[in-house]
Amino acid sequence: MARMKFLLDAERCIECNGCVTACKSEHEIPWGVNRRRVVTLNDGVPGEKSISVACMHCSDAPCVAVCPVDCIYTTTEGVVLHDKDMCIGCGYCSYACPFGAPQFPQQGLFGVRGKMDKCTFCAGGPEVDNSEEEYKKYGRNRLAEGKLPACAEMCSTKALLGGDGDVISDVFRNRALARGKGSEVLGWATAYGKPDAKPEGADGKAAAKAGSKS
Amino acid sequence: MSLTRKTGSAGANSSRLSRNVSAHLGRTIDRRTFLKRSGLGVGAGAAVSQLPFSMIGKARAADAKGDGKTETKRTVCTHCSVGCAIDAVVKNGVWIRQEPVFDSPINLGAHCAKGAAIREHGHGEHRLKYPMKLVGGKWQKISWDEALKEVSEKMLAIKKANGPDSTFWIGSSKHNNEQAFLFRKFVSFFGTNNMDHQARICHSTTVAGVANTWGYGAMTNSYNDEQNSKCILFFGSNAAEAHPVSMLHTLHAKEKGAKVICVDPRFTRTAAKADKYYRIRSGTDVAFLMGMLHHIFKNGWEDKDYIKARVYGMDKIRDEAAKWTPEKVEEVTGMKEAEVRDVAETMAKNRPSTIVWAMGQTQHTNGNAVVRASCILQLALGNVGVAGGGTNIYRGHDNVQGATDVGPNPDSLPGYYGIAAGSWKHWCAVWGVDYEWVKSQFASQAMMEKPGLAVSRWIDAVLEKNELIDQDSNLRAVVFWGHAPNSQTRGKEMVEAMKKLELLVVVDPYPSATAALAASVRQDGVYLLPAATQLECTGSVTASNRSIQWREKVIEPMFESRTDHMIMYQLAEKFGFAKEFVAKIKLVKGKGGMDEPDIEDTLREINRGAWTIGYTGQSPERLQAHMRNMHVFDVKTLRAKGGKDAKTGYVLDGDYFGLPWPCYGTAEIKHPGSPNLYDTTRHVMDGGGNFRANFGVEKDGVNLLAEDGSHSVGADLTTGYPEFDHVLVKKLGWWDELTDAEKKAAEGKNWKTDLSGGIQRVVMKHGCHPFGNAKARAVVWNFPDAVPLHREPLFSPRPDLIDKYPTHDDQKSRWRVPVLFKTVQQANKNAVKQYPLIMTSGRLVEYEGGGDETRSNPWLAELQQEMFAEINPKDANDRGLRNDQYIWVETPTKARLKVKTQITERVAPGTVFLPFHFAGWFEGRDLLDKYPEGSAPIVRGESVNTATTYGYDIVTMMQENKTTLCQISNAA
Amino acid sequence: MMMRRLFAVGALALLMAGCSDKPLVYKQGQYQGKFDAKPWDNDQFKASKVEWEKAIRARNQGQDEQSRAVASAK
Repeated sequence: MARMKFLLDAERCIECNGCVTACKSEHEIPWGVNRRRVVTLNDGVPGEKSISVACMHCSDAPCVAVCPVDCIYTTTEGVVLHDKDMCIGCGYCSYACPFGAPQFPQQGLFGVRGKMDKCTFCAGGPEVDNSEEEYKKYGRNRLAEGKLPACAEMCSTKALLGGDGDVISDVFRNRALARGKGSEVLGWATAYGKPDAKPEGADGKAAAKAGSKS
Repeated sequence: MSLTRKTGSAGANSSRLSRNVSAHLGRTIDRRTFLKRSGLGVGAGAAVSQLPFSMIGKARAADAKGDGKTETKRTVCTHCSVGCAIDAVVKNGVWIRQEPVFDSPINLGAHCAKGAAIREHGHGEHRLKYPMKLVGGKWQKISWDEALKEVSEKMLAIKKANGPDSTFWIGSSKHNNEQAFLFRKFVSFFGTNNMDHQARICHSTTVAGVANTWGYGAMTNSYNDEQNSKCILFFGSNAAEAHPVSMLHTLHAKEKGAKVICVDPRFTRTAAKADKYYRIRSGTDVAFLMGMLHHIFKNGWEDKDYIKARVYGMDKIRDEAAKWTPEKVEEVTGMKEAEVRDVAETMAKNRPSTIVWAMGQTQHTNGNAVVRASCILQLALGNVGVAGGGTNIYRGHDNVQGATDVGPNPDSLPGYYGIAAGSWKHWCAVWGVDYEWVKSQFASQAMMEKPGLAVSRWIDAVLEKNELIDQDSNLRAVVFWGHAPNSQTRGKEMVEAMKKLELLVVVDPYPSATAALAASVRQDGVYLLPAATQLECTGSVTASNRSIQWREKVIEPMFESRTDHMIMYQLAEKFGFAKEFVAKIKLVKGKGGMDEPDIEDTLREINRGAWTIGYTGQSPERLQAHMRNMHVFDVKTLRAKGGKDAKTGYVLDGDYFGLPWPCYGTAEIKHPGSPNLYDTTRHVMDGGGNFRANFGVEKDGVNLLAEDGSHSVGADLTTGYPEFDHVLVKKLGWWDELTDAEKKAAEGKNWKTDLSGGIQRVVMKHGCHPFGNAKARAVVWNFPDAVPLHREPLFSPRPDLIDKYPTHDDQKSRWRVPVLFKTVQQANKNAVKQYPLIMTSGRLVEYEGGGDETRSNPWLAELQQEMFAEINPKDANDRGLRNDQYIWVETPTKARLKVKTQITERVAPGTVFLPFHFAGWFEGRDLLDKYPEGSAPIVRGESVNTATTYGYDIVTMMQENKTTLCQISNAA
Repeated sequence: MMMRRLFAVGALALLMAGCSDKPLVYKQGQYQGKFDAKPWDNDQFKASKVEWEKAIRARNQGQDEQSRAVASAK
């Protein structure tokens, strides 16, 4: 099985924020903390596109590299998790992250940060799976239930895909073929390396390819 | 987080982030970029993350106790009319999780922000927790017994002193079908037709206009059916925000090659997803549609055979359209000839094509004409009664379709039976009550048969001079039973009306803006009764596509709240008609062991009476079987392929999901429901149909019935025919196919009043449609504008066009109150000099309706924290305004709204857009202290409707929300 | 260059953190740091990675409306 990945189809995203509230509900994320957010480009003019952004669970995650206490780790399924007991809230991961994913809730006095919090791909963290402890620190562990991230599962237009990298790039490729053009896939190469990690169709050549095949 | 419409810091950051991200779409993001970006991540977090992470585990703490039993309840989202299924995971009565229902053919597991946040209902911290009354300007907790006693005593006293018509009951499109149906009965038994609900101000013009065109006033096809379309025109709908999950089907269709076009005054998020977007001046819809028809007729793109066989009066339309030359269309709408022609050509050459609309068409002073012009466009193209075609009319609230069908309408009994004596007698028989007794509850038979007040006009029934209103007394008491006040226009005058009332009662899960507004002008005479939500009770709900879904109760009514039908029953007890209220409905024990009408039994009562629109075949058992077996229904056709319900053995094969009405006959004959109305390519028992014969058989010597050869597949009558009654059935020699029992019941009756369903059964066996087979009417001769006409809005930005396209003459009395047209238009002819900007309003994806509920949900409230106005950069710069600053928006009513600027090219120069979900501020003042403590919504703001102006549709009293004038100025 | 500066600041932070917390050293392993069970190490999947992968792949189909449309059209 391929690793877990997220893929955002900007041709489909309508900025409804369903992914954001699905995450909030599943993990009871408090006000002010956003593991996922939706960003709109060219707002209000032709060419407007929206993208849903969270931790992409990069293959060679820069946050893992810079963490001074080594509290961030990558699971065998390719999910980047971290240990909140170890985290010192230094914020390096936030500087290293290309997606602005790490957050630091529990703002205290000047300059003091809380433990880092970010998207877990609905895979919890280093506690007994689906234990009270895991839920409190990291939220639900859907992967351990054979389910996928709530945000992708509830996306209103199925713009946000999350799961087995092979499966979701198949889904995306079929769509790109159907509409005869691809779409920019934000951060896919950044997160998962290139060029082979790029789903077919992401470069906009799907139609040409399809044409030559048939 | 929505970075495009946010508070200060995030708003300022959005352009930077957008720039960064856009510069790097599809390629590696470099280190410099991510450093910049992460600055935003931290900054935005720092601005708002003052709450500890300790909220986590709240739900868990609750599930720790008890026996740990986990159940999954299947319900339907209570926000919009798409009808998204939800699996709620409940442990020990606590709603702990929500899972996607991938099996649902409607939403396939998908949700928008509201649907995905619905579990917050299980927290309900901002709910109205117990009954309250206003004492000396302060809210005071009272018991239910006190509340019911005091409210009923005051109501009865007002009825005694001023007659039953001095009360007005505003029901709800949030009620399920059964509650909406009971509400109609409840208010009838109180003795008045003065009742209404949200449909008046969302799609009343659609219901009236569309029904008068071809039979039923509803969405003809479905969201799913767009997958069959080759062209989809969004004209008056911003589905991406108002019906987000419908876009799943739209975008799927687009990927399969359908052309998507959006015509709107505003570059909406739907426009962003369209292939083409064209801007139109707000309030000029008929001119644009006539402009399209002009090109269609000129180029011979119309479907001539279809028109000949199935449409009456198209020649008159052709004459009107001929007048709308491209120059004239451009003068009025601002749209270029090439643009209008392009839309017409794309629609004509990519058939089946469909048109989608919502309140962009309906909420105008000529709304009835706009929707009819849309119907006419589709008739001209032969698109109605065709898969992939039709008029896809997106309703608003989750059950506004159902509440319209069987609920509290001032001019009709359930099933659009009207309020003539015969209709009353039909329903009295179904209800099991004596017609004479019901009549005795009313002031007179005349009042019993006179349409009641519309919710858009109740304020006038309070404030208007008594001699000018068409009932004895002015209104003395108003009940808001699941309806926001800020969805109605002329808010400033509404507050005056609230002040003048003797009694104001709010029945709602949230105290709502009604409580705060009332408390800001009153000292007493206001009661708040906490109602349960639809997640706290069971019942059926009708989605926009007429599919009916069954909700299971997720959790018990929270706090002291009671179900709406329990409250109705308890008030009926106080009013002395409890026995009659549930004459044929059994009582069951509800919350606290108290009696309430059984919901399944109530649906059976609807089944027994609503023959006109085929609400008869949807028994609770069939609906429940559908909910348990969603996976057998095809997404594109909504039809079950095989399948048998494991629990009951019910065979699902051939049913359409949710038995979309009309589902004629009794449940036993297994009509499958009608996925696409008027579709002659199917047998009537296969969901097929044709246009309704509801307007006679001929008009001025012209045949109104369908022409020879035009009929639904398999019909024994291969030409047009009138609606069926016992005489026609006998003449055709079909009478003896009725059973003896059916004959007894059907003697002297027609397809609508035969309570046995025998006439419908036999007629359909012959492949015929109970309501006949007629032509659609392009000309609706019983409306003031038989042919749809463009009429300038009352508050027009173009005084030069008012003389060319004037509005109607003033009307002495419509729906019991006078309604002004020309007087207002003329008086404000030059208002544009002082108020040079068009003011329009619409929805945001995060909120719904008046917004009291959604703005109380922290997961949603966080996403839109402030009321704002979208302003074009030119208008802002001309006034020295910057982004994200406070401004005053003032309209000709002199009402002033203090809102934040959102400077964007979404709106054209000269147009200002405001979302309508906000309340809790009034002309710059936060009413926080006017809410019962702890129950104010998290986010409050100015209601756009505080400042909206006068203006109503002549046929239905639809209010004008979309086009008026304003001026903006710096509030700093 | 930037990395180096970051690490310098990091070292300081680490030192300061050391004042209150005992620094733990993480070992390189399948999972770094604390134990975290694999998603199939539970009652539902009985330590069968194959079963878990099957479940995930099946579940993943829910995100593809095309497959739902095709599957139900069959």
